[in-house]
Parts: sequence; C-alpha cells; structure tokens
Amino acid sequence: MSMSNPLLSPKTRVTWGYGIAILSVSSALLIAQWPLLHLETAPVSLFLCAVMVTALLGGVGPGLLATALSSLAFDYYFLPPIYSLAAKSGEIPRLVIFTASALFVGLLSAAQRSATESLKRARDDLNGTVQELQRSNAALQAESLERKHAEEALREAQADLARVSRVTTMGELTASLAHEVNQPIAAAVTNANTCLRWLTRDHPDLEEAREAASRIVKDSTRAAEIIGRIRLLFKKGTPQRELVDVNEVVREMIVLLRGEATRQNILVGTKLEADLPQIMGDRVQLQQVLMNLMLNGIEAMKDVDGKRELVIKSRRAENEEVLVSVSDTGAGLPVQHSDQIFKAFFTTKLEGTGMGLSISRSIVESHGGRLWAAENSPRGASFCFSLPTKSEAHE
Amino acid sequence: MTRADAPTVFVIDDDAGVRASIQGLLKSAGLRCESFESAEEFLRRNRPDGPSCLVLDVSLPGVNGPGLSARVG
Repeated sequence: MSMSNPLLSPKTRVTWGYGIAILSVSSALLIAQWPLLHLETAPVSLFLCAVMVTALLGGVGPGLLATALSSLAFDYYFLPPIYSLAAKSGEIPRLVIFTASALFVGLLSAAQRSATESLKRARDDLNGTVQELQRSNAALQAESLERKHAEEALREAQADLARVSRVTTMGELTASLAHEVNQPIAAAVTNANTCLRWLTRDHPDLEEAREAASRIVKDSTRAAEIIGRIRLLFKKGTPQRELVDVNEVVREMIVLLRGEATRQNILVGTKLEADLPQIMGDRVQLQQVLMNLMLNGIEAMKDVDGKRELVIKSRRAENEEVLVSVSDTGAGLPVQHSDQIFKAFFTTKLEGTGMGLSISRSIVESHGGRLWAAENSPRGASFCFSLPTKSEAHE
Repeated sequence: MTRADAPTVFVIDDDAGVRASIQGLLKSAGLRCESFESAEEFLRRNRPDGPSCLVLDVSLPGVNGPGLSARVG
C-alpha cells in the first residue's frame, strides 16, 4: 500500500492529507446518517475507521484533524441533545472516551505509517547501496582486467628482455661455443680418415673400420646435441612450464661453458645430489640463470692468481626446495655494493650491461624461488638459488 | 697390428671424443698410444722412458698445453 505519492510535492501531500481527513469523516457521517442502513446507534466504529484511514494515509496532523472532526460530528449528531454541540452532563464521559479512542487509534495508525515509511526509506537506501556496490564491482572488474593485461604485457616484456640478454651473452661466447661444436666435428673428421686408412689397406681391417665409423656416429650426435642446446637458448618463445631436472640443466650448461672456463684456465667442479626431485619451470630460463651465474664466476676469477675453481652444487633443502649454488674463488662480492648487485644496470664489469643478475633474480622469483649472494670460503663469492619442487610456480 | 717396439705417442686432451679419435688414427698408423685427460694426470703417470712424441691440446684445464711443453722440455 502506497502511503504517499512520491510525485506529489510535500506541500501538496499535506493538503491532500487534510483533504482525506475531511473526506473520510464526512463519509463516515454520511454512512452513519444513511436512513436505509439504520446505523444511527453505532457510529463510533465508522468514525474510528475514518480516523484510522486518515492517520494511515496522511500522518499525525490529518489524523488529529479527523479526530477533532469526528468528536465534533459525534457530539453534534449522535449525543443528546442532537444537533447541538452542547452535550448533556451524563453524555460527557461517552464523548471523552470516544475522543480518547479516536486519538489513540489515530496516533497508533500514524505511528504505523511512520514505521512503514522508515522501512521504505531503508529499503530505498539499501537499493541505492546495492546499485552503488554493483557499479563499484563492475569498475573493479574492469580494473582487474586492465591490470591482468598490464601484467601479461610486463611478463612478455620481461621474457623479451631475458631473451635479448641471453642472445647477447651467447653472442659474446661465440668463440668458445664454436670451439665446443668444433671438437666433435674435428674428432669425426679424424675418425673418418682413420676409417678410410683401415679400409684402403692391402688387407682391409673391417673391425677397426667399423669401430672408427661408430666413433663418427657418436661424434656427430654429440655435435648435433650441442648445436641443439645452443639453438634452444636463441629460440624465441613464451615461457613454458615443464618438469625439469636441475642437475641435467647444470650438466648441459657445463658442456656449453667448459670451453670458456678452460680458456680462462678455470677448473669446473660439481657436487650434484643424486635423485633430486624435479621442479616445475622453464628449462631455457633456468639454463639462463645458471649461464649468468657461471659466467659471473668465470669473470670474477679472470685476474686472480692461484686457484681458479668454479663449483656448482645442488642439494635438497628444507620446505621441499632444491638449492643450487655457484661458487667461485674470485675477487668476492663488492663490499660497498653487495646490496646493489641485483639491481638493473648495476655492474662492476667494464663491458657488463648490469642486467644479468637482475634478470636471473626475476626468473628465479617467477619460479617461486629466491636468489641471493654470499661470501665463499676462503675467498670468492657464492650465488645460491632455491626452487620449490611442489608448489605451482607463479607467473 | 701395432708392434711391441713401436714408438709411443702420448695424447693429452680434455675432450674424450678427440682423445679417442687421435688414438684410433695413431693405431692405424701402427703407433702405440697412451692418452691423458689433463697435463696433471700425464705428469703423475709419466714413466721414466719418457714420450717419443706428445700430442697436446693448447687449451687444457689446469696446466695448459704450452705450459706442459715447457715443463717436459
């Protein structure tokens, strides 16, 4: 039931309320006086109804007016002497009780109207709040989508940067990589010559020729494998998530960087724990981290007299993590800048870009791990990184 | 077949494939051959009769080719 018409102005609504008061009391009087109905003796209920309806529709003011009008009409038309506002002294209690009842009914109805209106206002407020929330939610969803797009773009940019850095590093390693490819090819050529020598003898030795030929197969396969690994590092592609054997990644990188280490007269050693759990990650990116750390170690030992040793260790750590460390016997961490080495563009090398460690750290962190540096004993530096074996790596 | 009195050639190379290929070639030429992974390993096992011929890789981990050559004289 609509208590007030929202299209009406407050002033019109008040006038309308008082109109209802007059109309309802008049109607009650008319019905009570209607000769055919014979209600002259029971007008009280009719007037109370008129007061109730007025108070419900118009509120306290019109309700009071209806009460006053009803009391006057009741007094004038129904209390002896009839058709007079003066009441017999014996009828005064009836008039007082009637007026009190009308007042009570009117106030009760007005209170109900007020409560109903409060509820309606609360409901409207709630609707408004819900709409506001819906709008905020839509805005948040749009923002979230935008953020997701930005994050994707950032990831792509980071992957591109990592690749550019990788390709640049590989470019700098061309001489030693070429040497690594050349070794098995040179061996294959020698073995081919040997094979021919055994075959072109006066009495060809087929067994020796067969052995030489199988060495050619082995050498060629090895050359193809090395080229394949190099090509993988140059390949452009979105980061993959696959099960990776960290020890295998270490061994592959040693194959590629052994020439560079030897050139700098550096011994490369490993201490790899057997049966390490595999980790979920991008093989090429992890190779890149190892390449950066190993090349940093090699670079750090360039001007060092005495023992030059690069040791790569892997082991199972607490919290279901795999821990890898790359230790050198070089100059050690820059004392004043030990906290800055992971920042982009920071470098202590003459020709460094300052991106290697920064990229490595972001790769390790994107795999849910950590990368940090420590002093190596008795000298040099150790770079360690941990990778979770169980949890799903976050992008 | 390699004769017992054939000269011995010592091959020092850190690459197993290269070592095997040179060893095979020398065998086909009727020469005896012994191979070593590093200069240090060669120096440890160098016998009193000494090498007739030394085939050396220049770039070796630890003591390198020219370094070993100077030491052997």
